[in-house]
Amino acid sequence: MPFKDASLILQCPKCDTINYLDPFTFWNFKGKIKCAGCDTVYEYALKNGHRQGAPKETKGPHDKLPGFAQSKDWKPITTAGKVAAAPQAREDFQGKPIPISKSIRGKLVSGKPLSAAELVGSVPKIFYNGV
Amino acid sequence: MAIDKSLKDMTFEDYCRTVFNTTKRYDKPEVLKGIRCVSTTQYILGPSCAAYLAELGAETIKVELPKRGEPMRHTTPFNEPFLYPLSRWMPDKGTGLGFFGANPNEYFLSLDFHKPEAIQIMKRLAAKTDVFAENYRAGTFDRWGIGYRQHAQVNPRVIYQWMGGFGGWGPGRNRASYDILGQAQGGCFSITGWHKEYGGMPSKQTIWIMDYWGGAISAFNILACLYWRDNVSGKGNFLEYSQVHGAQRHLTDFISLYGKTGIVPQRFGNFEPLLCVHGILKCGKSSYPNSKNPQEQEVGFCLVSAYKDDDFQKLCKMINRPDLAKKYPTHADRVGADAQMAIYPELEKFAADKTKEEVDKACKANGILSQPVWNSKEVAANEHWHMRGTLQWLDDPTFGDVLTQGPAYQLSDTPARVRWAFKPVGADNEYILSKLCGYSGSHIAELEQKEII
Ligand SMILES: [Zn+2]
Repeated sequence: MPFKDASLILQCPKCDTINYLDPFTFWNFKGKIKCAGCDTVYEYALKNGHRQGAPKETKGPHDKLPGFAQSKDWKPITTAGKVAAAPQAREDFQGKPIPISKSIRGKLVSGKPLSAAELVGSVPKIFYNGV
Repeated sequence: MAIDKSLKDMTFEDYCRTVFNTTKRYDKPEVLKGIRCVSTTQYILGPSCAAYLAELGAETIKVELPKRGEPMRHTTPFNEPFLYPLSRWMPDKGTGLGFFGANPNEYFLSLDFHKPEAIQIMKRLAAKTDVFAENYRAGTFDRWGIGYRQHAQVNPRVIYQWMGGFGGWGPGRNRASYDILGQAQGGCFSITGWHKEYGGMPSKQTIWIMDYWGGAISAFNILACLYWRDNVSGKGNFLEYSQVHGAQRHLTDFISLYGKTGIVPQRFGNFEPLLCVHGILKCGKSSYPNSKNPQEQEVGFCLVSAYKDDDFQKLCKMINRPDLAKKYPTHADRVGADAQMAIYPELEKFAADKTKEEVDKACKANGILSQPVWNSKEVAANEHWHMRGTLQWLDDPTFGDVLTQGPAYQLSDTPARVRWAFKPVGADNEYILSKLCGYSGSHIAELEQKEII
């Protein structure tokens, strides 16, 4: 089975963007999804996480956005309005999100986004170099 | 361990402290060393099975989709508490802490099963592997040519554990399952939750208890089959675990009660249908009134157990209600639903101006068993568990300083251990593919180029 026919994915026939469909939202879904790459709106149906046929081009507005998307060369697409916003907790309930670089006891932890330059293989440089 | 003289003369506590010394556990051999396991699992049920084997020392290789990994890496609590990087291709993406606890000590290989080369790699691994753990939908791997039937042709000694919701056969087999579905269908939720006087709602267990339990039972199956293979038959085995059937195994006497009498057990909330007093009291005051965290500001709860007649008398004296001890002197007087509904509110009146610690202290001073209901902060700060190694700070080679659970059990000569919490997607591609498939560096680079790994 080709990758694009696997379940819970909409690979855009026009621009090849891979639109990942969040299982909680799309497990049983029939409606319109907007491609995060080229904004084409598609009719799409999934049943128990299985796609029920190829995406069919249609007119907007869309019902739902993919949860995550990436271009053919694995560049993530995270622009608001192209992909759905991540579910957010209530700040008053669980506190404000802060990417951290220290554990609760004050030692280094890899808890914030890194750039490619900050990596050695799979390990952040700070740990690799021991600093 | 030979019992030498110094150990022989110790008290039992010192003996345990010495043989289970958690600072020495990384120096001792691992009980499953030499067993190799391939885990193509996701979420919690399957991964926890593989993790239990890995904690005991099996060389466990987790296989995920390239670059993005399995869905649990992206299923996190709110507020993005991620560990970075997700993979070397995606440094700005992280793995959510929901991945914790179900994947320690594993080697991380990435494979795209939709490509024929990946299937070839799986077959090469099958030839050199003792155990497969898998929780794709029933029959998926068989269809792809990498299920038990195909692996057993290459390696008749392979033990293959499939895990899923409803089993590989039968009319209900095609539904996908989650922990919560297993608990609902298995019958667990119907008996946890509130009495009708308190709203009557069933209550869900927030921790993924049916996933972790299923993982443990699956690991238990696998160990039994390793014994049978290596000591009895020389043969492999195909194993199936259904989460829903596993949930039913928890139902203690409720099924036989129905079978014998037709009675459908009721929910009883924080009280206990068989004993009184044996439940959780709401206390009136917060232990952290000045905390910024609303969860800490809320009032506390304290478990109290005083179901024996003389303990109940002590409890009534403590709350200055000796009349209750007179009215409900015996177990039979107290255990009925009406009696319990009369007794607990009086206890909560006593607790209304106290914190959970104050209620606990009063109980202990009067010789009554009690325990404040602890939150994660209080659990994480407990010296006893850190000393015994069930909680530990781990200097993880990839992610730095992390707090994690360890195994709940101790093995004196061959202790289980957490070596690393987990690793990024595909972190061990080179190690595994060169060691087990004999691939060269350039071949591996080519597989990466073609997005096969
Ligand atoms: Zn597109």
